[in-house]
Amino acid sequence: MESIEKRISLLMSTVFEIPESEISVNSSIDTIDSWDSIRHLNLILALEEEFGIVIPDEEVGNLVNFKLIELIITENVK
Amino acid sequence: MVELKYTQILQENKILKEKVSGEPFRVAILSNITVNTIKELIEYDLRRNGVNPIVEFGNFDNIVQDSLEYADHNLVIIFFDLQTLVDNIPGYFEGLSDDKVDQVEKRIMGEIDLIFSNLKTTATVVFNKFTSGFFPSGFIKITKIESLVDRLNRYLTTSCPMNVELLDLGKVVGDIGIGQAIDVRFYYSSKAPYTIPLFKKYMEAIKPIILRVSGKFKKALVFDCDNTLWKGVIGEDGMDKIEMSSTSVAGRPYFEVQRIAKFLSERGVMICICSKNNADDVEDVFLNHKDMVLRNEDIILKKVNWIDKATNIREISRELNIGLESIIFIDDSAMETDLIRQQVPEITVFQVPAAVHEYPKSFLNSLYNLFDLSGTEEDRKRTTLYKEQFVRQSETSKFESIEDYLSSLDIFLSITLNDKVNIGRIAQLTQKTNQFNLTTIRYSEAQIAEYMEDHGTMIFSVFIKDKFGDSGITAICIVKEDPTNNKAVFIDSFLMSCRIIGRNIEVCFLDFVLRYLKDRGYENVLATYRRTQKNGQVESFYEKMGFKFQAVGDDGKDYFIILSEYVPFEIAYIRSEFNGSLKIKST
Repeated sequence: MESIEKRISLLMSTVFEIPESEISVNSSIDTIDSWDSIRHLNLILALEEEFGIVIPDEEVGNLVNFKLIELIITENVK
Repeated sequence: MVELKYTQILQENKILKEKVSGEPFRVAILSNITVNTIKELIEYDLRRNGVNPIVEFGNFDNIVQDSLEYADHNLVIIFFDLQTLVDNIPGYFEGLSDDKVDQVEKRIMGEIDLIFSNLKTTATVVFNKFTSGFFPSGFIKITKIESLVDRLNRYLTTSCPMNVELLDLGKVVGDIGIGQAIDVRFYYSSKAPYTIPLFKKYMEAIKPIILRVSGKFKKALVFDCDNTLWKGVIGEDGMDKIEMSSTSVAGRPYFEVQRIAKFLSERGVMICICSKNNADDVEDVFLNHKDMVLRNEDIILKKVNWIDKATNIREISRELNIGLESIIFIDDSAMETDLIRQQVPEITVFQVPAAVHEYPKSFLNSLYNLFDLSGTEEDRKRTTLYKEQFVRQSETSKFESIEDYLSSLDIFLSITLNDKVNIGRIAQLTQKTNQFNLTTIRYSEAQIAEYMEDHGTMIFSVFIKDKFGDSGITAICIVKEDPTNNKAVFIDSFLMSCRIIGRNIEVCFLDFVLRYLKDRGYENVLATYRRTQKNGQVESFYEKMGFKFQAVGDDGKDYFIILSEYVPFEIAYIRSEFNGSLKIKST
């Protein structure tokens, strides 16, 4: 199985329709132009499906950069 | 059918986007909730059917006005949800007076009229029926919202024009369960109540419409035989052990699937067989097995041979003169379904579920909608017509990429000499294996155990795994030293389970054995093929491996090979390891 980091960047690249090379740990809603509210919803749904988790309500709005996404995934994937 | 994850669909859709071109097919989705997640799913389904879509969304909660705006689109899908509407009503809905409810109802009916009238020139409109899925259920007394939903749906049914399809969204929700279908979190944050599983199920529901608008109904069903049309393996179990009887627990699912297939055949769907088996065995079942529902007259074409199925299905497509994309392939083996998916991606693939009792239902759910069953008497005769008309083309077209496919499997052989832990399994294989078995000598556990202690005998067994999992111990080779010549050995048994035929595992295995014997200082290897009713497919195996004839008779062939002349086979895509010997033999 690929690392969580790799899976997240692949997934973000797919959802935001940008090359994976443009995704880094420093990527955020400010650096990715296509990250709008609809894509954000799709991102959350895709993350939940990919990792088989449910992201808590209060976190959904906070997941606006790579590091936070990785953190919440790592915490929830056991 | 393997269900793709949402991100996989996004990826596949992106790839298809580059491939599919042509006159754009314009789809508009009008809704009063957020359903944007469905965009790529619809695009993906249309592109898979060779249609080049442009999917647009109307403004949020602006269905009536937008229905005029988007009327020129080829397909308009409407998500008219009561949730948004009810939210906009002050006060709790169940507390509303009958007059108020009546006002709401009248207003919605008026809107429906306007929408239908605005879209009267649109080729196809899908209007989702109303559902009360969001709202608490009235188990004993119907709630006001439920009764409103009932009345609105009745109104839809009576006022629905010819170009409008009513899709029962409540059934779609019910099929996966409200808990799975609706996610309140995103309703609050984004007015997006529906989950990815719901949208996927929705795409199944809308499939007949997608197929109709793209002119891509399926035409043919290609069945594997063993564990697909019946329980068991005809080549191994024989006529009296395979099951497809309506009265047997194990056979019942297969009976039901056959019954559906027969019905489809009567409606003009072409039923074909593609199976790795001896043709005579399968013919015997179709002719003589008392429990078969499908008979030869229901089958258009049979490909029963040992050629890979991708090649066979390409031939079926050519011989029946139908596109690959109009074929559905059904098999119980993950390896075969995966092969077809990779080699012939145009084909729709259905894998028999591991839980066989789910087979008929899952078969119906996945496939039934893919056919145009508005069949006439004429269609019912089509099977016969096709059978009379088509001329079999004898040329065979192979394609090189089978090798690519096999290398993607990550086949790994773990070879053990005299594996005492698995004596039971080894003996069982000698007793059960009929098709890939060069001499068909049966051994008991005691005999195998004795051989393992005997310095003149070597038993090699192979444990096989690939990316789909372990096949376990599936191939055996028993080698005995020649009592008259200590530089010579003979291969007493060489056999392999039919589950793993067609991957060159036998070549890799025998190659290993020969090199091992050479390393041990042996010079000459003798081998024998003994003909039985079942093992015709291996009669040239030793020739293929470079052995030379010593004697040829009606009942078989004797061979030898000089190990110093043996040219090893390089099967690059199979990795192997040797677990050494549990009994060191000195030479």
